[in-house]
Amino acid sequence: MLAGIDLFIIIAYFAGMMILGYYFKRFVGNSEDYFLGGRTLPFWAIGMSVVVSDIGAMDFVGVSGQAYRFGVSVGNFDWIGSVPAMLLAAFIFIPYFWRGGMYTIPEYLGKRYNRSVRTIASLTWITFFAVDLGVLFWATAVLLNVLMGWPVWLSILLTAGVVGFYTYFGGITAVVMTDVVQLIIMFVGGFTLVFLGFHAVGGWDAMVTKIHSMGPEYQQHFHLIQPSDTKSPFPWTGILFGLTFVMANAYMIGNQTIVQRCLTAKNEWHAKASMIFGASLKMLIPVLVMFPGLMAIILHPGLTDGDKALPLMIKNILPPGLVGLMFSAFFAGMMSSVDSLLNSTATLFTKDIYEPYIKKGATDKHYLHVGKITTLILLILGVITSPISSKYPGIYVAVQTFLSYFQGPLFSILLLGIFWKKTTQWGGLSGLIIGIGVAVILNTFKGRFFTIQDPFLYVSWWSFVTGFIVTFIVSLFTSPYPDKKLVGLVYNLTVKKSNP
Amino acid sequence: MEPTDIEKQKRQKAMQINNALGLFILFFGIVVIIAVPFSDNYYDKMTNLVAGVILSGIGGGTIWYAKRVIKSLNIKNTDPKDHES
Repeated sequence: MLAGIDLFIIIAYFAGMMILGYYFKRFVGNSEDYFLGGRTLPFWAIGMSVVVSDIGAMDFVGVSGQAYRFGVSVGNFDWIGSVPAMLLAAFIFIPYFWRGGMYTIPEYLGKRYNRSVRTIASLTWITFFAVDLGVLFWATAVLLNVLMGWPVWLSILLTAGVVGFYTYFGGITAVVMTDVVQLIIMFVGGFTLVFLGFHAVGGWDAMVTKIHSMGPEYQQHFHLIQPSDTKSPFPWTGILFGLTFVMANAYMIGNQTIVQRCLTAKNEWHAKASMIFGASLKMLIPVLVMFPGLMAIILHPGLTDGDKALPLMIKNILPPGLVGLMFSAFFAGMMSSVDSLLNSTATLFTKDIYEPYIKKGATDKHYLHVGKITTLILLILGVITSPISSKYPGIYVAVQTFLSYFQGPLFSILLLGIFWKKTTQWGGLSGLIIGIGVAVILNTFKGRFFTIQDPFLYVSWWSFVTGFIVTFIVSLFTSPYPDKKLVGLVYNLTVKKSNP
Repeated sequence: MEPTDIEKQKRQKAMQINNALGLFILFFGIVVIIAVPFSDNYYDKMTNLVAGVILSGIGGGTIWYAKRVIKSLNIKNTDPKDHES
């Protein structure tokens, strides 16, 4: 059970988030303020927001649990799986999106290819986000039920109420700025846990020696690179091809929730710097979430469920007060994921579907209103659909896996679209559709194609390769747009224009 | 070069946001410091104290910086809603 002071901190956290979010209402005067924060946000806030949106409550517990079971190789997801992609995004892709004054990535695809590509990409994201919202609500509420004993419905309604309140009123400014607070709390609580944990296990050298001496199954725990035939889900082949080459880049460059934050930057320098600053913070994340999992091997050996490692460490290592702060960080993780989904889906719907198809040329106030209403409807839908997840135990993994499938083809057309001026609209359209189709087939018949149980890293790689090859071949046989139309959208054309 | 009124207003908005953030983080720092007497032993007390002071420092520092910049901008009315009209 939590101490009174811990409960007080959690309740104060909820109340504070609502007050803070409502305060940001004063900065929302038009749709650009609501969706892009009026393009006035600084790099440090955006960088923090990018990092914290990437960590949900599930990741907190899941990464510690995987570190408990498989060791440091899980850190690859935040190190090699994020940092190079964030640097690539900072120097190559983000400047394009920012200079183009875009709201969404499908908007870029629409300008580079055609309206069909924009609509398919946008609808895919909207569907994914809308389904993910309910799944996320349920998965996190179940987790909090286990950790804190709160009824599932209480967690859902409480978090939905708080997140919905500040996202509805404050738009992306509230989303980014509440993320800043969430990251600071997460880091202070997390580093305290790691510091006290090291004190408890006798330091790094003692921890390594003790874990190695626990048996043969722990000999690979400190090997960052795992062999291709490893029993863990992180073989080096999957990490390199699936994660580093495709999923990480697709996530950091092609994911609306991430890119939209960078578009809120006050200028191009801030947009680039936000990703670089985010990358530097990202390198610290494994320290916060992975190390407690490793320490728990010594302090709580023999756990059948590795996901209990982090909650046990928090309860046994941290004093009252900081326990409340860390559980607030759990909520923070969930809230930052939900607020990102809400705001990004509202942006995608308003800009890519409502504005071009339903009501063209309306006033800015009207689109602002649509964005707010969409946020509200999504929230209600998320709460209502969340119990469906309980009937399908594998739905959380399925929805997350689906993301890795369509991100590959989407990234392939983004990559070719920016770097090869001869990529045609029909190439992009067929690459996207066939790439997603191949991912679905590979997943459906995964037993025939792959030897490991959960081959999502390999599927994302092959769907990317398919999308890339199809786009390339179809582009060779169809007519590209004239250079004039592609200035500002294709890399070498823009370089030529700025350096005549 | 003297900043324009629009630049001043943008800077003022950024500082008002920082001020609100600082206030929130400072509040949490104080709450963690309040938790010090509720801790069982010396280590727990010191842990809460250090974490609370760090949070309060970040919050207090942010407020101090934001207030200093707002003062240097020399804008009489600090409510952005009023500037829109």
